[in-house]
Order: sequence, then C-alpha cells, then structure tokens
Amino acid sequence: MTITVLYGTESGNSELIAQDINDRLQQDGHESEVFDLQDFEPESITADNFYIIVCSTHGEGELPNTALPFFEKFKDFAGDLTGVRYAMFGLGDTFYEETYSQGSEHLDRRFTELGATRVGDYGRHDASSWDLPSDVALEWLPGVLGAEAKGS
Amino acid sequence: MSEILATDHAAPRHIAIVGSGPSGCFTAQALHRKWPNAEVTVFDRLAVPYGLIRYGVAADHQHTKAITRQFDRSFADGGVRFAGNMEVGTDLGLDQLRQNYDIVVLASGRWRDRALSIPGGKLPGVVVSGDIVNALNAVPRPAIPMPRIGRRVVVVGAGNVALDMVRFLIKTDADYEGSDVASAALQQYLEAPATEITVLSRSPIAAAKADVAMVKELGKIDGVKFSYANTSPATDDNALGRKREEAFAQLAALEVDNPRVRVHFIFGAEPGRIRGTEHVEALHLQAAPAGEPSVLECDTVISAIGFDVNAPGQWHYAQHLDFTPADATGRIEDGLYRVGWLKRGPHGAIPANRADANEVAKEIIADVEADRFHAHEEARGYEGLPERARANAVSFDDWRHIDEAEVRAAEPGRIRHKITDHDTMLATVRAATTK
Repeated sequence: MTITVLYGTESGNSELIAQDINDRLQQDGHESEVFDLQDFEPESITADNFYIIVCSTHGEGELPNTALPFFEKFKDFAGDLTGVRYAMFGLGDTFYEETYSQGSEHLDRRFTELGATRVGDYGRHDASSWDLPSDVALEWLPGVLGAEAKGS
Repeated sequence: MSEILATDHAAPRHIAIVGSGPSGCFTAQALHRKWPNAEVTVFDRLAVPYGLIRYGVAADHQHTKAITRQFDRSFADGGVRFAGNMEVGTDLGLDQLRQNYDIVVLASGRWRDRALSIPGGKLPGVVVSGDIVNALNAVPRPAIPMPRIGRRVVVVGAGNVALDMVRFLIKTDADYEGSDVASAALQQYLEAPATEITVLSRSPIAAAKADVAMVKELGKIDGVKFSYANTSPATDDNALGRKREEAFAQLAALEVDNPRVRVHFIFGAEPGRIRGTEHVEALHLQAAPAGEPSVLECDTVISAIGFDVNAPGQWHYAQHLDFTPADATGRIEDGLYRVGWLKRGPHGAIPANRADANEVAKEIIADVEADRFHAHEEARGYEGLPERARANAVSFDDWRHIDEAEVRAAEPGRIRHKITDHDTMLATVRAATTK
C-alpha cells in the first residue's frame, strides 16, 4: 500500500509538514509520496492507497491558494470513493475563532460526500499556540497509522 | 556536502540569493530541494535574517512571523548558508557574486513608502507608515525613532498596512502580550495616544484592499467606537466586497461605553491638500460621501498608500539594471534572476510571493536543464568572495547568539527585546564567539 501525502498551502507551513510526514513514513519503511494539491487530480484517487491530507485555512475559513484548483475539480468530480481511506490534518489560528481550521474541512466534507472514510483523529495545529506544526503532526501520525492498520 | 558524489554536470554548484526576506528564503528552499548538493548562500545587509518578516510584518502579528521557523530549519541543518552583514554594492560587488556563482537571484525587495503627493504633503506632522512600522519593529541600519503623533490623526489609505496603523493607534499596552514590539517606541506613543482617528479610502468598501480578517480583528480591541461612511455598495456578484461591508457593519454595531478612542472610516474620500503653516493643521478633502465634512482638523497625517516602485537606493548595487515590475519572468539575463517584490512590484502578501518564488525557481530549473546558465569552472562560490567581507559575515549560528540575547532581554509580557543597533548586534556576536 502506498501512502499519498497531499497538501494545500498559502505560506508553506502545510508543505513543510507534509514533507516531514513523508520523510517519517519513508524512514519507518512505508511506501509513500507527497504532492501539492495543485499538482494532483481527483481521478487518481484509488482505494489501493491511503491518503493523508495536510491543509491550512485562508482568509474567512477558505481553502489556501494551492488547494483551490484541486477543490474546483473535486466539487465537479462524480467518482465513487467508497473504500478510500484518508486522514486529515488541518492548520488554523484560534485567533480567528469563527473560522478556525475550516480550510481543511471543505476537503474533508467532499471526501465524505463521495463515500470515502476518514480514519483516526482529525489532526489540528493552532498558529496561536507555540507548538511547532511538524511536532504536532508527527505526534498525531502514529495514531492515524494505527487506526488505518486496524481498519484495513 | 559530500565530495565523493559524482558531480552532476546539469546542476549548478553555487547559488547566491541576495536578500533573506520571504521571497529570498522561499527561493533558497526550492532550489536547495532541487539541488541538495549545491552550495546555496543567502546574503543580507543586516546581521539578522528574514527581512520583511522580522521588520515589515506588524509586531502584534506573531502568528505571521512564525513562518520563519520553516526557514530556520534550512539554515540550521547546514543546507542553506546565511551570510548576514554582507551588503552587495558595499561589502562586495554584484560582479564578484556573478564571477563566483553559477546563479544569482536578487530578492532585495522594495521598501520605501510612496509619498503623499498633495500640497502640504511635506509639512511636519505628515508621517509615512514605514517610519512607524520601523520604530515598532526595531529596524536597525538606520534605526528610525518613533515619530511624534498627536491626538487627532488622519490615516490615508485602507489597505492592510493602513489597518496595521489603525491597530497601533488604538491598542493599549496589554494588547501586545506575547509580541516582540519595541517597548520604548510604543511607550512614547502610549503616553499620549490618539483619541480621534479618521481613515480615508479612495475606493468604496467593496473595492478596498484590506483583508476581511484584518477588519474583524479591529473589533477585538476594547474601548473603541467605530463608525464609517461608504459610497457605492458592492454589486451582488462581489461576494468578497459584501463580506468586507458586513465586517465594517459589525464593527460599527459594537456597543462601547465611554470609548477611549473613536475611529471613523470614510470610503470614497479623496484628499485634496494638507493645510498648515509650521505644522499640519487640517486635511481638506476634494471628494467625500454626502454628509461628510470636507475639512478634517488634525495634528498628524499618516500615509499608508503603498510602496514606491522606483525609489532611489532600492537597488544601489545594480543601477544599470531595469527593475520595472514584470510578472512574466524573473530572468534578467543568463544566470541572473529577480524574485518577489523586486520582480513583481510592491504588492501581494507573503503567500503571493511564495508562489512567485516557486515560479522563479521553476524557471531557473528549466533554464539549467536547457543549459542556459554558465557553470564557469573558476567559480568558487562563497570561498571566492573577498576575504574581508567573509571575515565580517554573520553566520546563522552567529545570529542565534543575537536571537538568544534578544529573547533573554525580553520585558514581561514580551517574547523578545530586539537589538536596534547594527553595531551592537555585531558586538553581541563577537562577545559570544570569542569566549
């Protein structure tokens, strides 16, 4: 099984987290790859892979720059994603309480609508905390992998 | 760097980036990722890295400044070299860089305010936003003192920098908890803060440049009464414009008992002239929405109308080159590129410039793969630069000593006390490294 790490970013934080997750997976002997969502097509989603999506929030709870073109295609995509398993890690800032971490949720909702199953806890990083984003993500990762191993 | 790896002939060995702001650092990151064995050096005239992130982003926006952590890693693990206190055009010439590097990327930005070009725009009491930002962010080389600001202030402009100015004018000391604001500069202002603030925008709310989140943020500050006048409302298809209108309506709806300060936004206002003999006395509008006064009595006018595209001194190291803004390409000539504000002109926030850095990196990679770069055999990279300049350079490890000293000196409620003086920074490094 290949683990595909996807990221949507505005200022590079999600990209760095996605690369760190990918590095960690490879160190641990997993088959993994990493893509910017703007270089990724909904048609390539397959139940043979496990997806980890890292995505920040922009403006008023919207998707970040590099996730926008993908999301447009994803909205119009009519494939059946039953059997596809994925995990979400969202970035946001509790300073903007009403829209905290909502960017990633747009993607999450669409995955679910198309029949995919979210695995493990919904990971979150808060920019108003002093936690390093990658530390939070790498602490979250084993739980997700454990849940994925149980479920598959 | 591993010497035993076979050298890939289609890869540059030495890459120089001039300027360690976001555009320079994002470019360095992208090129280092592509060519991990190339020596990538990021030069800065200051002794400290990160340019606009450290010195342009408002001191109370620490969550934005946190992106430097991504760059910390590239510098700390030795993948990318930081060479501070090395000013191209002074300590070394652009030609010396070109001789020693296969690829040179200019990322030195544009930093001078666009001046208010109306009659009276040079009167004492007219202040550019950059001077205030510099004072609050403790910019060295030169350190600029906090300008005097009176009780009645007019802010010209309604973009994000103008809103940074409004936040500064209405915040109390407690609102800077957890920031690295320059306390002395802030205290000077807070001894007699503004009580009446008018903000002028030429465009209606629908077309104003401020981010909605920045407008909403104003509403979190206690003790402020907001009001506004607008001209033409947003059309039905302008969703963002309508959100911005809603945000202003919410600000104005906030109930405040005994406000300590009032802020009135006038959209569709055009400044005509500033009146005063020795000092600013009033700003006269030549256009304003119905019912608004045409004369605003004031003590201070702060202009926040963007940056000057062609201000002298922004590229003293390359007077012969043309830096007219261009979106299409970052290439200046074989092996020489520009990125970020120096390429696109002074607009767009950090994310837009990250995207640009990635575009220019792609362009460089494509050029290299098409053999459109001169890998000259005699290029020696950093080692080939004048010894004197290298002897005075501040490395990333050196910067960490400055960083530690600043964090140690932080006052209660602050995360850092920035050193404002360039020579003190250098002395801090010397003291720490000659023990």
